[in-house]
Amino acid sequence: MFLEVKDLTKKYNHKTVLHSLSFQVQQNEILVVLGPSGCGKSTLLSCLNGFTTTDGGVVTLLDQDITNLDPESRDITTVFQSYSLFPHMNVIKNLTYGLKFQKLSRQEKNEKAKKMLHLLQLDDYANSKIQDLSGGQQQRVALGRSLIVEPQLLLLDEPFSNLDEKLRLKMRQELRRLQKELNITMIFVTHDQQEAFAIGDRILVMDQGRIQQISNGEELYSHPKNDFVLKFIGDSNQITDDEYIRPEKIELTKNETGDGTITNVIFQGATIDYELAYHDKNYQVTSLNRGQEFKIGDHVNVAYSTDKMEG
Amino acid sequence: MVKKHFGSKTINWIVFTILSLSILIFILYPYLSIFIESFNEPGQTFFDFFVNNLDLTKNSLFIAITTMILSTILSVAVTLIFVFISKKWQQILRLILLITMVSPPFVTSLAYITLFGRRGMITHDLLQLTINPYGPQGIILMEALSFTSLNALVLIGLINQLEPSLINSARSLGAKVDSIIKDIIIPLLRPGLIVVALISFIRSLADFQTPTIIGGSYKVLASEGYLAVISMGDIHQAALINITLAIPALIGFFLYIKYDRIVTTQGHGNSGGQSPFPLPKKGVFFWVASILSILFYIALILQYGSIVLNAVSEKIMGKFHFSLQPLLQTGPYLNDTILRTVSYSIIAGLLGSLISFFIIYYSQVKKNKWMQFIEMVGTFPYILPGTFFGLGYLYAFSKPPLQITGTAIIVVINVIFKQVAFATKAAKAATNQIEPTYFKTVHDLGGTVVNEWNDVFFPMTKHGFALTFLNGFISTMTTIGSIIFLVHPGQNMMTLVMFDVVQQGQYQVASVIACLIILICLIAAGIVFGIINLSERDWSHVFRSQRSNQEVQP
Repeated sequence: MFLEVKDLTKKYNHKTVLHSLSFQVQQNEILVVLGPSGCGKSTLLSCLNGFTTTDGGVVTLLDQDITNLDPESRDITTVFQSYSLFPHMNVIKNLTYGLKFQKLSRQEKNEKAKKMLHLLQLDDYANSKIQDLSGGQQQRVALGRSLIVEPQLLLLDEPFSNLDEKLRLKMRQELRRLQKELNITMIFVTHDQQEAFAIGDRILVMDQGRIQQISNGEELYSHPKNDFVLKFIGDSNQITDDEYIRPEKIELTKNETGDGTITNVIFQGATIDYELAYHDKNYQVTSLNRGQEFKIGDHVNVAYSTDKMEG
Repeated sequence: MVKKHFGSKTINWIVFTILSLSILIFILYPYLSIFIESFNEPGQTFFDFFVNNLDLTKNSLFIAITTMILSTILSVAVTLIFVFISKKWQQILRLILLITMVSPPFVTSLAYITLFGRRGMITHDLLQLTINPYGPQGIILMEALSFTSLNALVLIGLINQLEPSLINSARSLGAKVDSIIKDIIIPLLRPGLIVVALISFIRSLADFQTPTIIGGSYKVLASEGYLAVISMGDIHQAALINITLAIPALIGFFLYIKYDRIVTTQGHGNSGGQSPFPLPKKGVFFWVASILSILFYIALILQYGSIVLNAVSEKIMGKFHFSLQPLLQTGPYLNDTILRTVSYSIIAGLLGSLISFFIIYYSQVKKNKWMQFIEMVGTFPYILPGTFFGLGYLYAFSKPPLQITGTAIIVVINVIFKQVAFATKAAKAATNQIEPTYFKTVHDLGGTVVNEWNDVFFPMTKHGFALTFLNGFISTMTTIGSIIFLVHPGQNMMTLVMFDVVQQGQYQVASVIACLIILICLIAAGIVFGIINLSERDWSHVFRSQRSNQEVQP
């Protein structure tokens, strides 16, 4: 196994923040760790890159126990949320910083740097000051600085959260492209489920220091294993304890004598959200915007299928 | 592949050990020596001394409390003016306040004597009076005046951190200027006011120069402690006096820590928004603050004006003429003293800052508990009177294993370690500007502790380091209390020479030395700020917050 985490436990002042987590990561995979803030995902990352000591459990990378190694001795690098680019060094110095600690000739370093700049599409910026770069460019330098040392495992801690929407979408694609070209294994932490779906081969959903479910995006959405995953990923109308309907699975057709009544309309652009009163209950409904929206007070026929939680 | 990084670990260990040992030996040990030895030594016991000299304590407390009140009121007035004036005027007044802090602490008293003394320019020459200016009123007035610059700078710093929307919303709700000051500004400044009052109290207790120069027959603990060593050579007596002094100073300090924490954690305002100042120039507060401030600035102008005048003139037939005579007269007093003072100040500034930044690296960045204790020990010289520190050195280092009294090295060591108290505070402020992930990044990419220093810690705090150096330099140039017992003839420092000549009545020579000290400090400040500006780069969008705005030490 490439990376194996077994019974990883972490306490702060007697409060357990990680409850014996166990999971595995395959080589060349992107695992996304998804969860609300305070769920322990950053602590998990700190245990992996070595900035936090653990209170139990074992982390093995390529069959080597790294649980108690210094951060500098682990073959793992991290892209931090704040980038932490050195403001007193230019782009190339930042990029090659980690190579200082590897026994490489100047020529080798330069070659690596050149290749990385090209890969990041920053060829013309080698000698730029960090502060002259745009947010997206800074983000790419931070990424490159961690990639250039060719770590076995790359950790990313909400790296795109400081970027605007458009740039964030672009960086997701960039990251996937780099991952394919360099064949690198990554663990990516985020609280944004769209980002998780877009990037992750598999998604680890975490809450209150426990793993709630690990699987690919489609599985998580279609077959949530528990209430938390159901509510955290996407919207849903709960019918019974383990029965629910996704809002887009309800189909409405206009009918003067229909049982359902539209009580609210929220225009979202590509889709329209309705609130529906139906048999004394309220439902969330999401329809594609095809130019035939309902108005408040319209009566409709309702068709749906329920899903069952797989506990 | 696992690397062990032995080299880095060894260096790390060596630095850590040297820091710990040096602070324990050169700060903790001297203080402990005073307590241990003065209680064990034969002669008067502490209790006897205290009871027999209750008057001294009373006098000291009276002076300290009155000075505290007066100086706090004056500082509030000087501070409040800042909410009524434009940015440009704020900068000018702030610069004046900063400049007044680079002079030796007893310059005010010197000016007072030359202006209002028996042969004073104002009382005698102008008003033809012969009055006796010596006594407690002189001490209180002089101390209050000379503490006000620092106090006002502290408070002005807090005013600038006020959340603009607080004041703007009060105004939009219809609050008049007086109510804004009474209901918002003063209550928010309250912790700062307490801090400022306590600083004045502690400084007044420790000040022996003002009472010695203008106290006349009025005796306080600090001046008696000084005289006990200098004129009677009675170290035991001095130790008892200093211990008495230490008690109120310690109480004041514990209160100070409590409120200082509030002050430093409060400053999170300024979430953008329009600056609410200047406010309209009206209301009771405006007029009272204006009058007091004008008096204060007139006093400053008189003070420095008279000293400069004294330094470059000669009185012939009751009239002042430009003359180099005072400067020439001063020559023999100084000899190689200028060079010695400047070199000590440079060494103290550099090593004091270096030690402090390393301490803060361990205590703040590494959150090392032991080093946090060491940092606390390092603040002792800030709390306790300077003479106490000097006396501790006399006790601790006059016998084996470390017998270094009478040497030049003891003076240098003393001024270095005296810096640590303030320099660690400045270093902390500078270090807080660095986001912790920078340190992590170094390790993450394979670097070690030494790389943290070389690539992150020192490069990213270099402005803070330069300012801390400047502080150390200036405060060594103007220091007197801690070294006055340690310096031996032939290795004098400028402030000590100045203090001597003031007591001999050589006011013109003293004025020349005062001007020289101020000039040297201003040149040093010019050089340091010049270097900072040259290397200035806008790190704002990579750096978390603005550059540190540290004040210069008293």
